[in-house]
Amino acid sequence: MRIKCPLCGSRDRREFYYQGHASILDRPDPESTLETWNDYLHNRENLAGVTEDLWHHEQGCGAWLVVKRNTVSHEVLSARLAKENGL
Amino acid sequence: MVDLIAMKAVEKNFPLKIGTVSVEEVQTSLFTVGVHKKIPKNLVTAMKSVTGLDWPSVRQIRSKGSVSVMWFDHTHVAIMGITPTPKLEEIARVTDVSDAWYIVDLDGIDVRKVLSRVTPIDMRENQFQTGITQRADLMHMQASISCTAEHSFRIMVFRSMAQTFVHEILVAMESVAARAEKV
Repeated sequence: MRIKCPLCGSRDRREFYYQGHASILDRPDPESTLETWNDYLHNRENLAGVTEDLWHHEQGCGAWLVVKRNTVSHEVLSARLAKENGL
Repeated sequence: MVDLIAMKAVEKNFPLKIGTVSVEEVQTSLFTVGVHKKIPKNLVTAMKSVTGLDWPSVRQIRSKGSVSVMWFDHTHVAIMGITPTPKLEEIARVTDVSDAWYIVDLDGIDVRKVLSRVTPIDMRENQFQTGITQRADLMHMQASISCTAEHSFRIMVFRSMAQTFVHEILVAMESVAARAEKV
Protein backbone atom coordinates (compact mmCIF):
# COMPACT_ATOMS: atom_id res chain seq x y z
CA MET A 1 0.00 0.00 0.00
CA ARG A 2 1.32 3.42 -0.96
CA ILE A 3 0.09 6.91 -0.09
CA LYS A 4 0.81 9.92 -2.28
CA CYS A 5 1.89 12.61 0.17
CA PRO A 6 1.28 16.07 -1.38
CA LEU A 7 4.75 17.15 -0.20
CA CYS A 8 6.88 14.00 -0.49
CA GLY A 9 5.28 12.09 -3.34
CA SER A 10 4.38 8.40 -3.40
CA ARG A 11 5.57 6.74 -0.20
CA ASP A 12 5.39 3.37 1.47
CA ARG A 13 2.68 2.76 4.08
CA ARG A 14 5.43 2.09 6.67
CA GLU A 15 6.23 5.83 6.79
CA PHE A 16 2.74 6.75 8.04
CA TYR A 17 0.88 6.52 11.33
CA TYR A 18 -2.89 6.00 11.26
CA GLN A 19 -5.03 8.23 13.49
CA GLY A 20 -8.69 7.66 12.70
CA HIS A 21 -11.61 9.11 10.80
CA ALA A 22 -11.14 12.63 9.41
CA SER A 23 -14.37 13.77 11.11
CA ILE A 24 -12.15 14.73 14.06
CA LEU A 25 -11.24 17.85 12.02
CA ASP A 26 -14.82 19.15 12.28
CA ARG A 27 -14.69 20.22 15.91
CA PRO A 28 -18.10 21.23 17.28
CA ASP A 29 -18.78 24.61 18.83
CA PRO A 30 -17.59 24.62 22.48
CA GLU A 31 -21.14 25.46 23.56
CA SER A 32 -22.62 22.45 21.77
CA THR A 33 -24.71 19.88 23.62
CA LEU A 34 -23.17 16.87 25.35
CA GLU A 35 -24.78 14.64 22.71
CA THR A 36 -22.93 16.51 19.93
CA TRP A 37 -19.62 16.23 21.79
CA ASN A 38 -20.27 12.57 22.58
CA ASP A 39 -20.91 11.95 18.90
CA TYR A 40 -17.79 13.85 17.87
CA LEU A 41 -15.52 12.01 20.29
CA HIS A 42 -16.84 8.47 20.25
CA ASN A 43 -19.24 7.57 17.47
CA ARG A 44 -17.90 6.53 14.07
CA GLU A 45 -19.43 5.14 10.91
CA ASN A 46 -18.09 1.69 10.07
CA LEU A 47 -18.25 2.10 6.32
CA ALA A 48 -17.80 -0.53 3.64
CA GLY A 49 -16.63 1.79 0.88
CA VAL A 50 -14.98 5.17 0.50
CA THR A 51 -13.83 6.79 3.73
CA GLU A 52 -11.53 9.64 4.79
CA ASP A 53 -8.92 9.09 7.49
CA LEU A 54 -6.19 11.12 9.13
CA TRP A 55 -2.67 9.80 8.59
CA HIS A 56 0.52 11.30 9.99
CA HIS A 57 3.60 11.24 7.76
CA GLU A 58 5.87 10.68 10.76
CA GLN A 59 8.82 9.14 8.89
CA GLY A 60 8.62 11.87 6.26
CA CYS A 61 7.63 15.53 6.22
CA GLY A 62 5.66 15.33 9.48
CA ALA A 63 2.42 16.63 7.98
CA TRP A 64 -1.07 15.34 8.80
CA LEU A 65 -2.90 14.09 5.74
CA VAL A 66 -6.53 13.46 4.94
CA VAL A 67 -6.43 10.21 2.97
CA LYS A 68 -9.43 9.07 0.96
CA ARG A 69 -9.50 5.29 0.57
CA ASN A 70 -11.83 2.42 -0.13
CA THR A 71 -12.18 -0.01 2.77
CA VAL A 72 -13.47 -2.74 0.44
CA SER A 73 -10.85 -2.65 -2.33
CA HIS A 74 -8.08 -1.07 -0.17
CA GLU A 75 -7.52 1.40 -2.99
CA VAL A 76 -6.01 4.74 -1.93
CA LEU A 77 -7.88 7.40 -3.89
CA SER A 78 -6.30 10.68 -2.82
CA ALA A 79 -4.41 12.52 -0.09
CA ARG A 80 -4.37 16.18 0.87
CA LEU A 81 -2.84 18.21 3.70
CA ALA A 82 -5.05 18.38 6.80
CA LYS A 83 -3.63 21.90 7.22
CA GLU A 84 -6.00 22.97 4.44
CA ASN A 85 -8.80 22.21 6.92
CA GLY A 86 -7.16 24.50 9.46
CA LEU A 87 -5.38 21.81 11.48
CA MET B 1 33.41 26.39 36.13
CA VAL B 2 33.34 22.83 34.85
CA ASP B 3 35.42 22.27 31.75
CA LEU B 4 33.22 20.27 29.40
CA ILE B 5 34.88 17.99 26.89
CA ALA B 6 33.29 17.72 23.48
CA MET B 7 32.47 14.08 22.82
CA LYS B 8 32.33 12.61 19.35
CA ALA B 9 28.99 11.13 18.34
CA VAL B 10 30.72 8.13 16.76
CA GLU B 11 34.15 6.80 17.76
CA LYS B 12 35.47 6.01 14.31
CA ASN B 13 38.14 7.50 12.13
CA PHE B 14 36.44 9.14 9.19
CA PRO B 15 36.47 9.13 6.20
CA LEU B 16 35.72 5.42 5.88
CA LYS B 17 35.77 3.82 2.46
CA ILE B 18 34.35 0.42 1.51
CA GLY B 19 34.24 -0.55 -2.14
CA THR B 20 33.55 2.55 -4.19
CA VAL B 21 31.67 4.44 -1.49
CA SER B 22 33.12 6.66 1.21
CA VAL B 23 31.47 8.19 4.25
CA GLU B 24 32.66 11.39 5.93
CA GLU B 25 31.32 13.27 8.95
CA VAL B 26 30.24 16.86 8.34
CA GLN B 27 30.92 19.50 10.98
CA THR B 28 28.61 22.40 10.25
CA SER B 29 26.13 24.65 11.95
CA LEU B 30 22.44 23.84 11.49
CA PHE B 31 19.57 26.20 12.15
CA THR B 32 15.87 25.63 11.48
CA VAL B 33 13.47 28.38 10.48
CA GLY B 34 9.87 27.61 11.45
CA VAL B 35 6.96 28.59 9.23
CA HIS B 36 3.50 27.41 10.15
CA LYS B 37 1.19 29.00 7.65
CA LYS B 38 2.03 31.13 4.60
CA ILE B 39 5.65 32.17 4.12
CA PRO B 40 5.84 35.96 4.69
CA LYS B 41 7.42 37.95 1.86
CA ASN B 42 9.82 39.75 4.19
CA LEU B 43 11.10 36.37 5.40
CA VAL B 44 12.03 35.39 1.84
CA THR B 45 13.84 38.72 1.42
CA ALA B 46 15.60 38.36 4.77
CA MET B 47 16.69 34.82 3.92
CA LYS B 48 18.21 36.09 0.70
CA SER B 49 20.13 38.87 2.40
CA VAL B 50 21.33 36.64 5.28
CA THR B 51 22.36 33.56 3.26
CA GLY B 52 22.62 34.88 -0.29
CA LEU B 53 20.23 32.13 -1.34
CA ASP B 54 16.60 32.08 -2.43
CA TRP B 55 13.91 30.45 -0.30
CA PRO B 56 13.82 26.73 -1.17
CA SER B 57 10.68 25.20 -2.56
CA VAL B 58 9.34 21.87 -1.28
CA ARG B 59 12.04 19.14 -1.39
CA GLN B 60 14.67 21.55 -2.67
CA ILE B 61 18.20 22.22 -1.44
CA ARG B 62 20.09 25.33 -2.57
CA SER B 63 23.82 25.75 -2.00
CA LYS B 64 26.52 28.34 -2.57
CA GLY B 65 29.99 27.46 -1.30
CA SER B 66 29.66 26.02 2.19
CA VAL B 67 26.24 27.63 2.80
CA SER B 68 23.02 25.74 2.11
CA VAL B 69 19.33 26.32 2.64
CA MET B 70 17.01 23.37 2.39
CA TRP B 71 13.37 22.37 2.79
CA PHE B 72 13.39 20.39 6.03
CA ASP B 73 9.80 19.31 6.74
CA HIS B 74 6.25 20.63 6.39
CA THR B 75 6.93 23.55 8.74
CA HIS B 76 10.69 24.06 8.57
CA VAL B 77 13.48 25.25 6.34
CA ALA B 78 17.06 24.56 7.45
CA ILE B 79 20.15 26.76 7.11
CA MET B 80 23.56 25.08 7.07
CA GLY B 81 27.05 26.54 7.16
CA ILE B 82 26.39 29.99 8.68
CA THR B 83 24.94 31.49 11.84
CA PRO B 84 21.93 33.57 10.82
CA THR B 85 21.96 37.19 11.93
CA PRO B 86 19.30 38.46 14.39
CA LYS B 87 17.57 39.99 11.36
CA LEU B 88 16.00 36.62 10.60
CA GLU B 89 15.01 35.98 14.23
CA GLU B 90 12.94 39.16 14.22
CA ILE B 91 10.61 37.69 11.61
CA ALA B 92 10.77 33.92 12.13
CA ARG B 93 11.31 31.26 14.75
CA VAL B 94 15.02 30.42 14.34
CA THR B 95 16.44 27.51 16.37
CA ASP B 96 20.04 26.34 16.65
CA VAL B 97 19.85 22.55 16.24
CA SER B 98 23.53 21.99 15.39
CA ASP B 99 23.95 19.63 18.38
CA ALA B 100 20.77 17.70 17.64
CA TRP B 101 21.64 16.28 14.24
CA TYR B 102 24.40 14.01 12.98
CA ILE B 103 25.43 14.77 9.42
CA VAL B 104 27.46 12.71 6.95
CA ASP B 105 28.33 12.93 3.28
CA LEU B 106 28.28 9.75 1.21
CA ASP B 107 30.15 9.69 -2.09
CA GLY B 108 30.88 7.09 -4.72
CA ILE B 109 29.63 5.35 -7.85
CA ASP B 110 27.57 2.80 -5.89
CA VAL B 111 26.10 5.30 -3.40
CA ARG B 112 22.54 4.83 -4.72
CA LYS B 113 22.85 1.05 -4.35
CA VAL B 114 23.98 1.50 -0.76
CA LEU B 115 21.12 3.84 0.12
CA SER B 116 18.58 1.57 -1.60
CA ARG B 117 19.39 -1.01 1.07
CA VAL B 118 18.46 1.25 3.96
CA THR B 119 15.59 3.44 2.75
CA PRO B 120 12.33 2.62 0.91
CA ILE B 121 12.43 5.75 -1.27
CA ASP B 122 13.23 5.58 -4.98
CA MET B 123 16.97 6.15 -5.35
CA ARG B 124 17.12 5.99 -9.15
CA GLU B 125 18.88 8.92 -10.81
CA ASN B 126 15.82 10.04 -12.77
CA GLN B 127 13.73 10.00 -9.57
CA PHE B 128 16.17 11.54 -7.08
CA GLN B 129 18.19 14.22 -8.82
CA THR B 130 20.82 16.70 -7.68
CA GLY B 131 19.27 19.54 -5.70
CA ILE B 132 16.47 17.41 -4.24
CA THR B 133 16.12 16.74 -0.52
CA GLN B 134 13.71 14.26 1.02
CA ARG B 135 12.60 13.30 4.49
CA ALA B 136 12.34 9.55 4.67
CA ASP B 137 12.61 6.41 6.71
CA LEU B 138 16.20 5.13 6.99
CA MET B 139 16.27 1.81 8.89
CA HIS B 140 13.45 3.18 11.13
CA MET B 141 15.25 6.50 11.67
CA GLN B 142 13.63 9.78 10.62
CA ALA B 143 16.32 10.87 8.19
CA SER B 144 16.88 13.78 5.86
CA ILE B 145 18.46 12.65 2.57
CA SER B 146 19.76 15.19 0.05
CA CYS B 147 21.30 14.61 -3.36
CA THR B 148 24.20 17.06 -3.67
CA ALA B 149 25.70 15.60 -6.87
CA GLU B 150 25.07 12.61 -9.14
CA HIS B 151 26.96 10.24 -6.83
CA SER B 152 26.91 12.28 -3.61
CA PHE B 153 24.36 12.42 -0.83
CA ARG B 154 24.13 14.27 2.48
CA ILE B 155 22.35 12.28 5.19
CA MET B 156 21.13 13.71 8.48
CA VAL B 157 19.78 11.72 11.44
CA PHE B 158 19.15 12.57 15.10
CA ARG B 159 22.49 12.67 16.91
CA SER B 160 21.14 10.17 19.45
CA MET B 161 20.99 7.63 16.62
CA ALA B 162 24.41 8.36 15.11
CA GLN B 163 26.02 5.04 16.08
CA THR B 164 23.08 3.00 14.81
CA PHE B 165 23.11 4.97 11.59
CA VAL B 166 26.85 4.48 10.99
CA HIS B 167 26.52 0.76 11.77
CA GLU B 168 23.63 0.34 9.31
CA ILE B 169 25.32 2.32 6.55
CA LEU B 170 28.61 0.40 6.93
CA VAL B 171 26.75 -2.93 6.71
CA ALA B 172 25.04 -1.71 3.52
CA MET B 173 28.37 -0.51 2.09
CA GLU B 174 30.01 -3.89 2.85
CA SER B 175 27.12 -5.77 1.23
CA VAL B 176 27.27 -3.72 -1.96
CA ALA B 177 31.08 -4.00 -2.12
CA ALA B 178 31.01 -7.78 -1.51
CA ARG B 179 28.58 -8.35 -4.36
CA ALA B 180 30.53 -6.08 -6.72
CA GLU B 181 33.60 -8.32 -6.27
CA LYS B 182 31.71 -11.40 -7.44
CA VAL B 183 30.69 -9.88 -10.80
